[in-house]
Order: sequence, then structure tokens, then C-alpha cells
Amino acid sequence: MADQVSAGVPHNTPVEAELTFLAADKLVAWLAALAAREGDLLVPDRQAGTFVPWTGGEPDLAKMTATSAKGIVLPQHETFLSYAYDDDGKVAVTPRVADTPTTVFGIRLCDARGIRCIDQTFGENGPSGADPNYTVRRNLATFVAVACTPADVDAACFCATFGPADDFGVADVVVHPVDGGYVVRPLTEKGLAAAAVAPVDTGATVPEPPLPSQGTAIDIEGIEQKLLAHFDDDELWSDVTEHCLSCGACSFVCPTCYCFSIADEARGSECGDRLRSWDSCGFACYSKEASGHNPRGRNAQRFRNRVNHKFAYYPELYNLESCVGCGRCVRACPAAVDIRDMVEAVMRRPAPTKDGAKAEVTA
Amino acid sequence: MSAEITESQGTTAVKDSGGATVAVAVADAPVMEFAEAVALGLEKFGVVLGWAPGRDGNLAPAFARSAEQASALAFGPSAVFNPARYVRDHTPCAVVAKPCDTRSLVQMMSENMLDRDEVFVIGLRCPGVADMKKVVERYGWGARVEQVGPDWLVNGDKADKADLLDARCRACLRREPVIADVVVGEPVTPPAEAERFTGLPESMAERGAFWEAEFGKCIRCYACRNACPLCYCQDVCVAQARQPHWLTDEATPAENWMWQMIRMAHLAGRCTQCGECNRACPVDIRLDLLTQELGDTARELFDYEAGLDPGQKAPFVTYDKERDEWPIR
Repeated sequence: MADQVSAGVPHNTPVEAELTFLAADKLVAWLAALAAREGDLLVPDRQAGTFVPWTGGEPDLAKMTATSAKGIVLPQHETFLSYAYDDDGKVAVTPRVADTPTTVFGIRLCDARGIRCIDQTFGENGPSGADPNYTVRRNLATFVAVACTPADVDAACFCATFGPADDFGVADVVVHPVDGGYVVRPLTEKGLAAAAVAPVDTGATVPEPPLPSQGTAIDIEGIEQKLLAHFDDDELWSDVTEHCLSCGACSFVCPTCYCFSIADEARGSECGDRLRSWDSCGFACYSKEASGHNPRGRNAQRFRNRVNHKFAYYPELYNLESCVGCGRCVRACPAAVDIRDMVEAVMRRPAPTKDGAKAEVTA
Repeated sequence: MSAEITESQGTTAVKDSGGATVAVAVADAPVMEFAEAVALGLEKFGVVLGWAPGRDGNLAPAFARSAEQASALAFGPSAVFNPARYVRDHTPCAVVAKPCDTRSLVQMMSENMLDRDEVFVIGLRCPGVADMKKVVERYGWGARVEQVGPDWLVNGDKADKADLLDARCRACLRREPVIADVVVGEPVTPPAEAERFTGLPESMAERGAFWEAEFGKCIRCYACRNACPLCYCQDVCVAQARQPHWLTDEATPAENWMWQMIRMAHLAGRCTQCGECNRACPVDIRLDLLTQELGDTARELFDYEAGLDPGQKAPFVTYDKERDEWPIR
């Protein structure tokens, strides 16, 4: 299904391409050219806190949006299929798959790295095979990332923890702000197609763009084993989560959190939709079973899952942390919970006692 | 204009002839230094809820269980969090509370959700706190706000206090705790007039567009609910229930609006306008305009303000349409 829909559109294949220079006053013309292509053009809107359809004018590229770009490939809610009873009383099921190409201008490199994390699970090489809806959206999306300048980095950013400054994630094009304009760096076939409509200055000398700025790294050396060793360290988890309000703000703004729930929503008695929507380990009902039992009934257990998922389970499965250090959770938290504090608390925690060591084996 | 003074469970409410509460004084609560009050709370219940400096130096919610942890507790312009939210999970406990926070405690008591004997209230006289979103907007994330003498400093430099003062503090005339076992701080002169939250368009058509845009931003993270000290059924909230099934997970403006209307309906006559839902919202939905409306309506229809007296009952608890003396105007 994914192949059918994405056939004929430029793909994610990496390319080697020349850097070009776009004068600052040509940016809007480039956006207009991108908007003239098939599909939607989204730009960041800090007022809305997210990416919205471009309606003309200069995009607001200062600082990142409150929510991440993940919703473009993994929407907050989507209809998988619709069902309806026909005249004979039989149920007809209609799959629903998105098929609108989207170009997103102005995601951050942390967004581009976040989507790489989600690719591991939902993408073509995922453990359960490609998720059809995700793969279609992903293959139809062109990501134009803007490289951060020193002014874009704040005290919540810690992306240097997870890789070098020139890790462009799954960005199709990177735009580097430089004096008087932008250096345009196509990275994939899709990116080449997007760059091809940019009114670049073909005669200009292309300056060497500076490396993107990064937030300060934290120490996570060996955290995977530490976390597994402290799985049953209830005192640790209760302590670091005591002020957490157990809402979903951190996971819903996170560029890598992808937990979801599925529900059938009846639209009257004759038809309805099957929805997939974001879920959060913050919520008390997260992982609650139909019996009423919840293996993670306490917030400390749920938040442990959050930290372990990002820093132990994902590295174990994919050799990749499921955190990109964008700091959105830190900025969004209404109770000043900082995942860096949790990581550091785990890192400096003395090795578990005998009971803890036993827990490591059974965890 | 004659004032009416009523006493109930250790608090004294002073009302003007129009029925509006103009001052609330805590009777018989000794005034003491912050550290002394915290030590007393620790001695009494073994845990003190308050604020202590976090990673960036600004205050964050904190739970002191030792003398060392207690010595880290502090108050300042970044003490924006309402510790009353944590009290139910920690009783018996001591809690450091701003006047607005004490109103949450009082409301919980009036709803039989909190036993007065299980909480030691360290009531602060409050000069107001900062709008931390504004601090971030002006100075960048992580900027440190502190009080030195009468001034507020941001990253060590004197800042425009009037500009940074939280709108909920500009709207607040109550600078004394409503309920307290001990009182901390010098008396604070409240502003002459309570500022109103503004920004709601005049015409109904514009309002429709305004709220559609506001609720178009909502990501249904329920930070508003979980930050609210009075949304205490949050773990079994109707918003995420299948039976009754009033809402879907579709984060559309209509569903998001419906969610917030359910929440507001449940807070009608109960909301003390502590402003935590508005502060908690990660996408800055103007919930302050809604809670202000709740407060206005309760006052206009029922001559009622929530969170002023542990003995009072919310209008929807006591409402009796047969009662002709009911003060609906």
C-alpha cells in the first residue's frame, strides 16, 4: 500500500549534492515555489505552538515550536478505517490512508533526529513491518530543517548528548542561516526536488556554513545498564517523580514518544471509525488492563517506563537513544520536572544491593 | 459603607456593604521567620511541601523530609507552583502556601477532601510572583528570577517588576493567607484595584473564532486538569472514560472545547482562580479568561467566592430553587 501511494514521488534515498546560496530576500519566493507543488506546505508558528499551513510572508524561524514535528508523520489522532452496516446488515470496512504530500519548512535538526527514532518502530524496517499510515506519510513528507544558530539554543537544549552537530537526522534539506541568506544543503532525492525550486543565486560563492549550534551534553555513559540495574529501585523512582503531576505534556510535545491507543468510535448505531491517538505514560489509565489491573499503577512506575524506554530499551533494540535532547519536555513541564535531573540521579545512584542485583536478572 | 465581619474556623472575613470580601485576616496565628516556620512544620508532620531551587536556580516544587532539605526551602518570585496540589498525596503534612494556595486548601476542606487537622499551614504574606512564561519570552529559557531587597533580579540584573508580575497577582487583592497555623512575612499592601484578564474579543462572532483558535492548539495533555488542586478525580476522569463516553481522543477544536467545558462545569462555584491550569498549559490556551468568568458568575448569581471559609458550601451543593431568599440577582 505504501509503495502504491508513494510511487512516482521522489524518495528518501540519500544524495550527494552541491551546496547553494539563497539570498535572505528570496526566502519567501522559495516558500511560494514550495507551496505551488502538490500537497501542503507547513511552517512553524510559535503562536499556535506547532506547524501550520503557510499563508504567505516570512516564516517565524526564531526558536523551536512548543510541539514537535512528529505529528506530521504520526498525527495526534487518525482514522485507520471506517465501518458501516450495508442494507443486508453486513459490515463494510473501508481502510483510510493519508495520501497528501507535505513539505515542512523549518523543523529543527532535533525534530529530524526524532523522526529517525520513530522510523525504527514504525518504518519499513520496524519489528512489525512498516506501519502503512506512518510509512505513507513519511514517504510523502519533505523535511526542510533549519540549522540552529547560537541564538536558537537555550538552557533546556541538551542535544549534544546524542550526537555530533552535523547529524542531520532524516532531514531532506538543511538550511544554514549565514550572513545575508542561507546555505541550502540537499540530502535526499526529495530534498533535491525541494531545493530545485529555490531561487538560489547561481553565480554566488557559497560560504562554508558553520556547524549547527548545540545544547550542552549530559553524561549518559553506561546509563542503559544502570537503568536496568535500578529497575526495582522504588525509592529512586518515587523520589525523582514526586513533583510530577502525571499529565501528558512531556510525551505529547516529545519528538520521539509514540505510544498510542486505539479505539472504535461509533458515529450513531450504523457506522463508526477506528482511531489511533497519542497516549502518554503520564496518564493514570496508561497500560491499564480491561480487568482494571494496571501493571504500572503508580506514577513512579510509569515515569520509570518513560526514562527506560528512552535510555535503555531503545538503545538495546536499535542502538539509538529515543531522546534527542530538544528540551521540549523540560520547557513544557508545569511542575519543573527535568529529565536531565532523573538521568543524573540514576547515574550517581550507588550500585544496587543484593536485592537490586537480583532484580537486574529478573527485570 | 458598612463592613461585615464573619469568623469561621480561625479565619476572619471582612466584607463591604456590597458583599464583596475586601480582606481576610488569620486570627491567632503567630507571625514568624520562614526558616522557623518550616522547622516547626517539619517537627510536627515530618514533611514540608514548598519550593526549593531547581536545576536553573529558579524555585521548583519540593518536599522536605530532613533539616537539610528544609533549609533549602525558599520563597521568591519563581514560587509559581501551587503546593496545595500535592497535599492530598502527602497528608499529614506541613505546607508552605501563598494566599492563593491557601484558598485551594480551604476549598478542599469545605469539600471534605482535606482534614484541617492533617495539614500544618505555613501561610505567606505574598507580594506576588513572576509570570515565568514572560520571563522566558523576555530573557530566554532558564533565566533566573530572584528577589533581593525590594527588587526583582533576572540573571543578577534589576528587572522591571511591574512588567514581570504575573497577571493573576495583578488580579489579586488578597495578600494575607486565608488560613494558616503560622504566618510568614511582612504585611503587603494590595493594589488599589484588581486587574482583569483581558483579550477576549467583544463580538460573539469574533469570540467564536478566538476560542476555535485557542482550542485548535490544545494537545489534550490534561496538564490543566493535573495541575488543578481541585480536579481530584483526575485518575478516573470522565475525559478518558469509555463509560460514560462523552469525548473521543480526537484533538479537534470541538472535542477540545468540549473537554474544557466539562472541566469548567465541574469547577463552577468551586474554582478559586489560583491560575494553575492557565500556567500549566504548554500551548498557552487562555484558560484564565474562563476561570475569571467562573468566578464572576459565582459572585454575581450566588454572592459567592470559593476558598474563603472551610465551613462554606459551594452553590451547587446547597442550591435550592424553592428557597425564595436565595440571593440570585
